[in-house]
Amino acid sequence: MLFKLALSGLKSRFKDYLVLFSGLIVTSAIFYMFLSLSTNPEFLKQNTTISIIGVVFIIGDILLALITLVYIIYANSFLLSMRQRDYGLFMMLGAKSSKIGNLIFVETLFLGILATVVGLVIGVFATQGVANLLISNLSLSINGFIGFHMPAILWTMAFFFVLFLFAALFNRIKLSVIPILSLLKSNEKPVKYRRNPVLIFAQFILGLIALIVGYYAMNNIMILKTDGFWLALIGVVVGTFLLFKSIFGVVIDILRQSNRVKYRNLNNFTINQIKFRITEYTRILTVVSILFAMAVGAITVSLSMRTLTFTNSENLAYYDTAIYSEKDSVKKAVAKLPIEDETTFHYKVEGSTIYALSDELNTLPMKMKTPDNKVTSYSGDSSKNSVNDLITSAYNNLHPKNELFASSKDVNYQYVNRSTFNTIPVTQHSVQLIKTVGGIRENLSSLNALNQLQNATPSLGLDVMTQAQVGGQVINYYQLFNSTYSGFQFMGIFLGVAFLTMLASILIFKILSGAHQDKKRYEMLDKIGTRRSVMTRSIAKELAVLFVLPALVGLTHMLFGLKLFQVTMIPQIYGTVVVPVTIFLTLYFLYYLLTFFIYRSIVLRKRK
Amino acid sequence: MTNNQIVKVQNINKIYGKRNEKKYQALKDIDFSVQKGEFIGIMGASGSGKTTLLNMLSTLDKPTSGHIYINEQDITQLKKNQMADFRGREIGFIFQDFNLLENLSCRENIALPLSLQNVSSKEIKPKVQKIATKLGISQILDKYPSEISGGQKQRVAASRALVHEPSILFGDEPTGALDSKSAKELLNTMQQLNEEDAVSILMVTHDAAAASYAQRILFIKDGEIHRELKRGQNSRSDFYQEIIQTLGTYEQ
Ligand SMILES: Nc1ncnc2c1ncn2[C@@H]1O[C@H](COP(=O)(O)OP(=O)(O)OP(=O)(O)O)[C@@H](O)[C@H]1O
Ligand SMILES: [Mg+2]
Repeated sequence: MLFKLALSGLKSRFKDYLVLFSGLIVTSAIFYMFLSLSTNPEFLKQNTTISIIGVVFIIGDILLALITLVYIIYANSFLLSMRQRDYGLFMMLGAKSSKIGNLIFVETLFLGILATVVGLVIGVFATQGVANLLISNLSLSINGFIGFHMPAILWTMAFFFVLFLFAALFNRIKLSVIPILSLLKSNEKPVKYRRNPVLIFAQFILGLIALIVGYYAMNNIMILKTDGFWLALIGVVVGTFLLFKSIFGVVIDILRQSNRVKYRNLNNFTINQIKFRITEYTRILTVVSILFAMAVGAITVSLSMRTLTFTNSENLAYYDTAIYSEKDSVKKAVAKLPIEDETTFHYKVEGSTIYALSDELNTLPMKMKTPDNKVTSYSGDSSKNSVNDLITSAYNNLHPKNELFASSKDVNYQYVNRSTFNTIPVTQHSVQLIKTVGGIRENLSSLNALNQLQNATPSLGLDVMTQAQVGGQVINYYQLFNSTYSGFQFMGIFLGVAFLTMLASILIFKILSGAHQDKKRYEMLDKIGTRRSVMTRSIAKELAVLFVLPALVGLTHMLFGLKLFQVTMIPQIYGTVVVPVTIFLTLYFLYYLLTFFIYRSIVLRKRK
Repeated sequence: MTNNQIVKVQNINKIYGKRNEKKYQALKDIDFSVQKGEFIGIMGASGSGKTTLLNMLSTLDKPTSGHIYINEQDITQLKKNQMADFRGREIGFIFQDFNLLENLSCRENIALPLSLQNVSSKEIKPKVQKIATKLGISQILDKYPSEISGGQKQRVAASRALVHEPSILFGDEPTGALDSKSAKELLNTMQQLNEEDAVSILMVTHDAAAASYAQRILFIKDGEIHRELKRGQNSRSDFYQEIIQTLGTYEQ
């Protein structure tokens, strides 16, 4: 009977349960996504070259576990607040508190396990989906990554099971300890927070010290090594929390004490909305700022890796690609390329002699990049040698193995004038060097495709020099670097997306979980004659606090955190930070608008 | 319509229930007017439509048909913002279920209508203090609604309805949760406002003693005005007797 009653309570707040449930699903899905990388040592080994990545992932595991913990605590208090009144009512009508305790225990555990299982299924598909998307869109070369990874599944299940078990126990105990009257009135209680100035000051100082230690550790990672990571983790998390805790309350109090601010429009209401949820806010602001930092950080690192791959390859050669194949499909593809600059050399091969045109050698410029990234042309002997090498390797790529020149030393090069060239009775070949408009950044996929069409894999047994000439254009270097850095790029964006989803989910959850209560408050405000626009402004302000503060703090964390990558992998990382941050902030702002509209549509009822 | 009428209700009907739901007619052809400075009591059995009527008058809900003029303005035709401003400036409403914001202290709750009108913070404090003293709640101003009694809540709600000196006051059983002494204080305050500041009052009540403060009483039965009593030159106690008798005839 009691069970039926409980179930009907569940039905009546179906929407709230949906919010809660989907929040939990997202959390476990993201947790799995992260673990699918971090518990996959083979993948990490194959796709990264840098040893610190192991530590980075352990730190990541811990941070994510912390964030999940906060999320679950929060979700649980939401669940409890939904149920308290119902269960209080049952108890008042005579239900035994032990029975009620069992009920909430089962309910919590069941909800948690169901959410975890559904989350895992979604997590597996999301992991595979995001991976496929990234690999094909960014032309990354990734080995050994699939969505389904058993250790990650087991870890996620274990972690969530333990969390929900504790949550269920906690709820059980709580329901049997709290007096019925407070259960019944649980939603109306104001949060009394007595502020002890000494304590707050101590929190502030401690927080500041922790943060400084954290930042210092990230700045001196080369000296501190692994210890530095731990210091950074603890320092930043503890520092953020304590600073938010101390400063936030003080600011709210200062606002509350200023009559001018307070007694204007709905300011007082807005301030109190926040003050009432201040413990919740402190935790959420901390978590959101850390997630913010991790998400922007991961995406920035990934994008700088990508930029690095591009600039490094661009610095090594002038031409984007060399065309030597005579296939029709290749010709068609070349015709579609936007060509900025090109040079074509013609040649014929008879026995071990290669004939080329002397006027082409003398008049056609073959351009190259200097070590300081300037464009010059080959001249004199080096010009001749490079054309020799180019033609040899072009020829080698065109022909079956047994006809190849093993090395440029085996070849006799003859530069003849055009009329002599024409009399040589073999087919003429050519090799065309192309620089495209926009280079590899704009034409990456067509250049890659062209390479595949030409089948440009350098044959075995050639000396390095010859290989480098045909294979030595920008696109070839790009492929080389890309295979080295793909792992990082992939992880960066993959995790960036995961953290971003988690961030979005926490924010929307926070907002929706209060909507039920807020709706009543806004109805009352409406009754006493508050204009809709005034209420809208109040909502916008309340949400802005939730979005802006963590963004500021998160950005600061991120800027200090990039130092880790600057000294270990990507020296020019700070140069590439603007684009990802701008993109991220734009998305973030759009998300703010979205949550704002969703929230407003829930709490402000439409009037005819 | 003469200029002396502050409220004119013309044939309003209210039918609850949306298109596919069961219909219920809560008000039937209600038609009456209120003179400026009049104190009107509204009585009737539970479920007879009193709250519904007040909701129409205070723009919280719209009648299904009919018109309501307040200060010669048809409030059934107001736009959303005008309605909000009308509620915020012209009227005070003491709700049956208080409608206090539990995340604001009593002082802040009372100050809200003033804040919304951008009254300067310097003026707000004394105004809140004055009305709170009048209603005997100055001791509890810094408590939160969950920490005070039902009667105290009602007085806070009344203070909030009166603090901005509205030209019409609607009360939905404003004395319902009060002991006779506090009830008397609130009623005296209302009467004082009515006599000195010419605030028009419409008050729903089940209590004959409270109703006797009014100059005229409308009896509502099944959504219709069934009867009207006028105090005229009678003393309050005579009027009280008359109300009791009328209520008696209702019960038969
Ligand atoms: N939102 C609504 N939807 C449908 N029916 C309603 C609604 N509000 C009120 N009613 C019905 O309209 C009738 C009048 O309700 P109203 O609240 O006006 O009564 P009342 O006279 O204020 O009663 P009480 O003295 O108990 O407060 C009742 O039968 C009630 O059930
Ligand atoms: Mg009523």
